[in-house]
Amino acid sequence: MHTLLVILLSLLLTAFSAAQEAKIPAPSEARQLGVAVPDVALHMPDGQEASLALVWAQKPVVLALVFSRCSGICSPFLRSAREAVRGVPGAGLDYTVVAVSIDPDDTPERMAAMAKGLELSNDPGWIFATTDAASIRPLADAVGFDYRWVPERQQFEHPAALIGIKDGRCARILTGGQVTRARLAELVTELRGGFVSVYPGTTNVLFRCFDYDPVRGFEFGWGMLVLVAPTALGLALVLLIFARRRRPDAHLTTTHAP
Amino acid sequence: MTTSTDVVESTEAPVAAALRSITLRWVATALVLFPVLVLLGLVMRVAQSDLVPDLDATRFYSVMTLHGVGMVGLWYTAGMASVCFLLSRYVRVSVLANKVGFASTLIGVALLLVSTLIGKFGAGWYFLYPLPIRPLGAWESWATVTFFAAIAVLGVGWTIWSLDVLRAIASRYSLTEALGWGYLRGNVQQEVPPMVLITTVSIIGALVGLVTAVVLLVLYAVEALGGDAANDALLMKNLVFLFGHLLVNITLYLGVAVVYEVLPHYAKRPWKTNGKVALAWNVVLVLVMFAYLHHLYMDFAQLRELQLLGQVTSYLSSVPAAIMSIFGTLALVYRSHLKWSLAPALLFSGVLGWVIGGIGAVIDSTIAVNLLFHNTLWVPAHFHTYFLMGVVLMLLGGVYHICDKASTCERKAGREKLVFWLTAIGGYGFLLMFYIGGAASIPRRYATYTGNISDGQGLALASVFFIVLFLAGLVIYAIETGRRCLGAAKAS
Repeated sequence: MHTLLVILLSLLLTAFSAAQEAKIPAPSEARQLGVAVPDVALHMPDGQEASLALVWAQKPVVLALVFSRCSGICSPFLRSAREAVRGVPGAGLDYTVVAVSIDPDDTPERMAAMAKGLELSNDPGWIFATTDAASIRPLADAVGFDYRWVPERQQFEHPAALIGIKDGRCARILTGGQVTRARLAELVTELRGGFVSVYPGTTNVLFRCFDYDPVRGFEFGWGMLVLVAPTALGLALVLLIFARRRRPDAHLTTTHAP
Repeated sequence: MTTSTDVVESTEAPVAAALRSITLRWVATALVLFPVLVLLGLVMRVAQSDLVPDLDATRFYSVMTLHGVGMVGLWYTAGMASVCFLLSRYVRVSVLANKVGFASTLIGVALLLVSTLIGKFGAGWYFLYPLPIRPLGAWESWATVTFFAAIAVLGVGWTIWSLDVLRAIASRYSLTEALGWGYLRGNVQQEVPPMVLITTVSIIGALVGLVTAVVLLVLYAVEALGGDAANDALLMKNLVFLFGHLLVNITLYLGVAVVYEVLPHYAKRPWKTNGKVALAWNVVLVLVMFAYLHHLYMDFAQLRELQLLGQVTSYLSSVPAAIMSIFGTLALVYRSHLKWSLAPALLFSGVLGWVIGGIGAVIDSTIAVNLLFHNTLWVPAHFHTYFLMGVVLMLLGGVYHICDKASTCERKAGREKLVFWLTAIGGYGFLLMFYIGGAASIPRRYATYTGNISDGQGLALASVFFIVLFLAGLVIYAIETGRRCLGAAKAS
């Protein structure tokens, strides 16, 4: 019995921990579009000082929020982004990729080492920088990038995302550790002022009206029930009201106007 | 069977002083708000005519939102207030519920003013998903919250008010009586005035619309507050037009109820419910729930069958009530030696505007036509016709009648004629510019007309002239009605 209790408790703790880990969602493009991104200072590895606004004033920015001692997604994500950027010409000419650290303990030197490890030290299309500790959270919040420090692992838990910034506003967000050339090309096209006609829709949709299956065709979803519910509820209210007993009132007329 | 009287004589209704008082407050509020909302319309046409080049697009759309939601709300409440007053001949409506409606409207209007004029909320009066929660930086999220708070306050107040009107009807009539089913069966236990029949149909529709609004707000809140889940855009559009279309149609029916009740006072003939009238309004009750589907013709994801249902129900829901009411109005007036003072003139021309706008609406609800017209000025042309020159004139006529009966002010025939002709020429001239714009494929909802649609500027400029004429008529109307309103307030 005692063993069973321990197993159950362990399972519960594991489930709780998994739920905690799964809590950080990727930035939602739909929520962040058009949101103003705050200007933050950029401390470059070569000792130069700049700001994000200075960079986007020259050309649109593709922002990546990472940290140098990440033992998880940051390196594979940046490698994937590097390959995609190489496949989409224009980095350094009409857009700049800016990797900013979310770790207040990071230094420009550590970011330089990160760039070197990715063979991007001398790439004019890329900037690796840290920013002031107080600026990290406002910047991340503005682009919907949630993260938190996990003391047991001495790591930040965070999603992977590339954020397109045009004229200081969030223009597009790509999420996921794998950056494909096609998706990056769409983002860059939009940053250049082009029109992208098709967007991938969100998969987590509440109450769809219809579902489409190539074999079965259209099928009604739960949304149809939600659509019919107000009418049913309204009519139920009417029936309820008219179910009351009626009382004749001698003071009221029974005749038509006039 | 309760007998009806065929004798045409005025029966003084036992209208409570409190109900008269709150109705006069509604009138005073409408007399202030309506010209202000017309002025907002004027501002938009002035901006489109390029007379004032510096009205930025964000401001334009916030003005458009306030104008739209203000007009829809104002005339729904004006219709409800008029109907409550006139209905009190037959049933006992609650003054408290009326006051709740009034207070919630004042609070709602204040919140709307803040969200649109200060917060620049500009998603349009029907706040189509996902605009309110995806403003792309055009306005701050607090403006959206304030707008939804306004809609919630208005929704709660109006629902309580609507439920009370149904309660009042239910205290005297069974549901089948109130819907005139006795006339359909040829077995009338208790005579049902058209006012009661149309109000019952209208309030049932309004309740469905208001409950739909609640569901809509809940879904918006779920998305705004919770996780990364998004709503189904198609479901949200269906819901918003079920609510919006119902509310506008019901407002129209409330205006028609006023015509049925008031015009007989001037024609000195009764307007009775019969089998055909009952059938027409019952058909309306069923079909008006589906007519909104014509707003979704452009949505390829909507089932084809629903698109076809939208066309069929749009035709069928408008024809019976309109035909019955038009023939009823003509029959009532024909050889009645009616003296054309302002109230009957406005009521009659309101029915005319309903017919003209209704024909425009039926044309636009034809799928093949809608594919061409949907995004042009034809759409504001037809809905302004049945709204401004239809239900608004009906209700202005009703309000004038109510105030005139309640006061001892002397009628000034010259001023009444001036009001009628200024509103008629101004109103139809204004509409004509929209219709010509639609025929010329000038798009709707554009803040400015430049490039290959610059023809729209001239039309907007001509509109400005006609709106000023309409406003002039409206100001005289407000003065004349205000005098009567004050007189009635003093008398009571």
